Amino acid sequence: MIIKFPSSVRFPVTITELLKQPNDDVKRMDALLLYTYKTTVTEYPEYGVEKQVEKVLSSQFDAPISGKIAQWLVKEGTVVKDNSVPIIEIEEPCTHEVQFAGLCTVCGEDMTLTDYNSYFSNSDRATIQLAHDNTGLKVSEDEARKLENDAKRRLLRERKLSLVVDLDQTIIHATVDPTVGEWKDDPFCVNHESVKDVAAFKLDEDVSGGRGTWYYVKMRPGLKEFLQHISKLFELHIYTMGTRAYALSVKKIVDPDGSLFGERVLSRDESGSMTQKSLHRLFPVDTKMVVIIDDRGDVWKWNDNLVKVRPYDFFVGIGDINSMFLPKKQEFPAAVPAAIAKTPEKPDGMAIEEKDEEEEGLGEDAADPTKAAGSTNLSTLEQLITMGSGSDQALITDQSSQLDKAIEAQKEARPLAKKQELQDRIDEEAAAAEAAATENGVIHKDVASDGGAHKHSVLQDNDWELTSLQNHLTRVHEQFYQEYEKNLTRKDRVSQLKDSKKLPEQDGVDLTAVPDVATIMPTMKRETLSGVVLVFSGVIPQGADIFSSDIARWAQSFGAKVVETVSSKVTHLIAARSRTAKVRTAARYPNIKIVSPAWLYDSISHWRHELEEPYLIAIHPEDRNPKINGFDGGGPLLSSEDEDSDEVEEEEEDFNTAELVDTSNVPWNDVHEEFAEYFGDEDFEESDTESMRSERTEVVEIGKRKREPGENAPADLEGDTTMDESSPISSTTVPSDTGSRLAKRQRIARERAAAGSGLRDVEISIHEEDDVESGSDSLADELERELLGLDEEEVEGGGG
Amino acid sequence: MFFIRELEKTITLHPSYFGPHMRDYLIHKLHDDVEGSCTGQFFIICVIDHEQISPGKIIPGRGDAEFTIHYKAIVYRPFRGETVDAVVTSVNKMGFFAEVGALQCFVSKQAIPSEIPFDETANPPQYSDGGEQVINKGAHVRMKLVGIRSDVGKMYATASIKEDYLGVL
Repeated sequence: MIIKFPSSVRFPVTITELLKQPNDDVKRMDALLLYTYKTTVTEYPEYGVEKQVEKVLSSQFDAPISGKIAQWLVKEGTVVKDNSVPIIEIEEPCTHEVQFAGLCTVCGEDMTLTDYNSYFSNSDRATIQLAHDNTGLKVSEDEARKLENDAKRRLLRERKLSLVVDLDQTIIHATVDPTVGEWKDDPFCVNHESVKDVAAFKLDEDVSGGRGTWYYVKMRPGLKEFLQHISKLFELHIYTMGTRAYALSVKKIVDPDGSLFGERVLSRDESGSMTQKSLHRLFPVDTKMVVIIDDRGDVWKWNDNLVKVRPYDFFVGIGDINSMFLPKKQEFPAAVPAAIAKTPEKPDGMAIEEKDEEEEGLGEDAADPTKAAGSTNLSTLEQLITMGSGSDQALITDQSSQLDKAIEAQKEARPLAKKQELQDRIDEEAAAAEAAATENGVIHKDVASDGGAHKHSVLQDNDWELTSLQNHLTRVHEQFYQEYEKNLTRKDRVSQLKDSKKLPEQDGVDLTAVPDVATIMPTMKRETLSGVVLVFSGVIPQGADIFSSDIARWAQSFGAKVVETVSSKVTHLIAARSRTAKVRTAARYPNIKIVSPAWLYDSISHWRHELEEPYLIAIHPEDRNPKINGFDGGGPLLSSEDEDSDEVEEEEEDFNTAELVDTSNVPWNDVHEEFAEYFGDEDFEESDTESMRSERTEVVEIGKRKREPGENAPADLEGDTTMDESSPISSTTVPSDTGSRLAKRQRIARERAAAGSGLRDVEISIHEEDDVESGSDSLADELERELLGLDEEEVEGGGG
Repeated sequence: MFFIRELEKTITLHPSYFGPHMRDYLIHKLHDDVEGSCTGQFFIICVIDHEQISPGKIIPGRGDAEFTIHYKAIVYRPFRGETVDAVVTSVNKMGFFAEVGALQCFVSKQAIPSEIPFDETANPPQYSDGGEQVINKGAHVRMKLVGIRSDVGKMYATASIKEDYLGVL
């Protein structure tokens, strides 16, 4: 080890004498050299005043470590300027590379002892925790690198990668609701079938005298096969936010003989952080060969090695029992089709709950007041807990007790039992309704009211995420080793050219040729949705930042571009409900596919751009005129909502150079009809310019309620009606002082006309245009809204 | 090494325990409190004799009574260089953990003979020479303590099996 002066020495110092020779054995505290330094001291002469005197003082430097002197790096007379100059190299008998609980594991020396001479701490030499199950064991960086390289060599030889597996909601779902146990024991219960393969274990609480808690664990469907297959390609590690006892118990269930996970279990007790998971805790040197599967991206900070899976939610409404310490999970509505078990809704998401009722047809979440109250409790608790950072010990203790309380609360509240009750009630009602409907058929009634056959279980077990996950992981593995082989052959050739004598590395393993999963996998993922521009509607809660929301980041990691507003560049609108403002807007763009969130989830889950057709959301006929559906004239509708000004400019150029389109062949009668239909005015049936005039005044009348005529609105309408009058030269006759907006409008009109489409769309586009262009002009906005006759749903959060 | 040592313990008793069974309760509490505890110097294994229980002294203002009990106990104190028998609790690529009673020890790879390498693919993970010597979870090993560190109420040790007559039993 190379020794330098501590920073406490008064630099510059002059070395005056070296007291030891190379190859001498030195003990800690042995004097190594003498040096002199300059300093000012205050002298107090016998008579007279005290004065500052500069003096040269001598001092000695003691060995901070024991060992054998390898060489001196200074000579007598050398002036040392600062503490970066090496003084001496001492070979240590033990470098304390691996330490356990403050002890060197090789020499057994106590690393925590300090004295006046220990200006560097021995315990700082080994800071990296490498063991899964023990935080006391620490190794130095060199040692960690050595160990990791060994491990990587072994993996390469076995053609494996490392896979870090999360437990809760990724491969299993656990609950403490005792209802599950009762269902399991009761073979006649309607839920018995669903829970009969649920495993259970009991954990004792920390407090003495506690009776312990029963945990019920449901394995994700296909887990056994998944793990069997994947363990041939990956070395599996468990990384969970549960306690160690919990993790081990779960491991015993998913891996009874320990052949899959071995001892590689890391729990919250050893994680070092209550809120984050870090790959560096397990792979401190590099993470090139590591893949993570987890249902939460935020705890990994959306690491590139992460494959985020859809949360497994078997016990409806339970969520992740070990997520107390984590930041609050962002809930999304209806990640899955109605048949699949649903995630619990946020109590404040009223709109979301509305949708549930519609979609699920059961309305179980929204209709149950007790459940809603329960979840409110839980979520406030969660919020309280997650407010603080996880570093504070007192806080952690506090959080632990909160977690216990929450678990206790779940045991008491029995959310599943309540759900089943509710389900039974609904079933009964349905049966009653059925009976009422077929009142004349007495036999039918009997069968229906008997109930047993008609009862439904709240638990659904139709999750097939693991099947696709298995495919993805296999592909990642393949891709990785293809890349590795490629690098290897290239390297071989280079090295043969360079140095033919050089021996190939043992076992044909070359660590330098290892590609990085963190670059391979994102590339594979990004292909999935590349070119897709997404807008969310009704998916992300109001007020939340779109771009930091889980779903947006998730989609982005698959190559999709997420934007805030609907524009011509958008390719997909992910809508949770069918009649939001964005859906209405998007409905006017024939190129935008309006799909349910399930499309996005399925695409992401399958790593494949799914066909949109099965996911298309039915658009209310008022929102999308059937004629528009027929319209497929070249390309997207133009709108000034394009945030990209470049494109607008470009398009305007197009307009200037474009030849004028003859609109005389446009079926204007149809246009007028459509227009009339849109405004709900029978008079338009007449379809002559006279009526167009009257229509115009009427529209202005509407506008007047909000603002004075003569401002934007009349100007807009001027433009509109000019076009309405089916004059092919309208675009040229309009005064130029109305500016580019008008020009654009005209262009739109022309394109519209050329495409032979309805006038209504022109109208809409124009109003939209106003909306955006005069961004601050809320009046125009309101006018537009009135014109479109939107209901209150229109006012939709910016969050989409 | 095990010793019989005379120790002293002060127990505070709530007034609700004052009564005919007070002495039994005190002894019960003594056993509960000290057996299995670690002072930082040694582990108290077993109380074997309680010689003397001092008369209780009421703490002014609270009503609790304070008793001082002198007792004899078997204690275990590990020493550096001592050879001990231990049970392996966990094995990893850096070494293995073993327990000598209540004392947790770590034996690093450097302190394991190189003839017994780590076999990462084995299930459970183990150090083995492919023959008789297999160090996995639950194995009994004889080892020599190399370093001991005491903390408040805790003790840790590191050990070695890289000497004659040490290793798997």
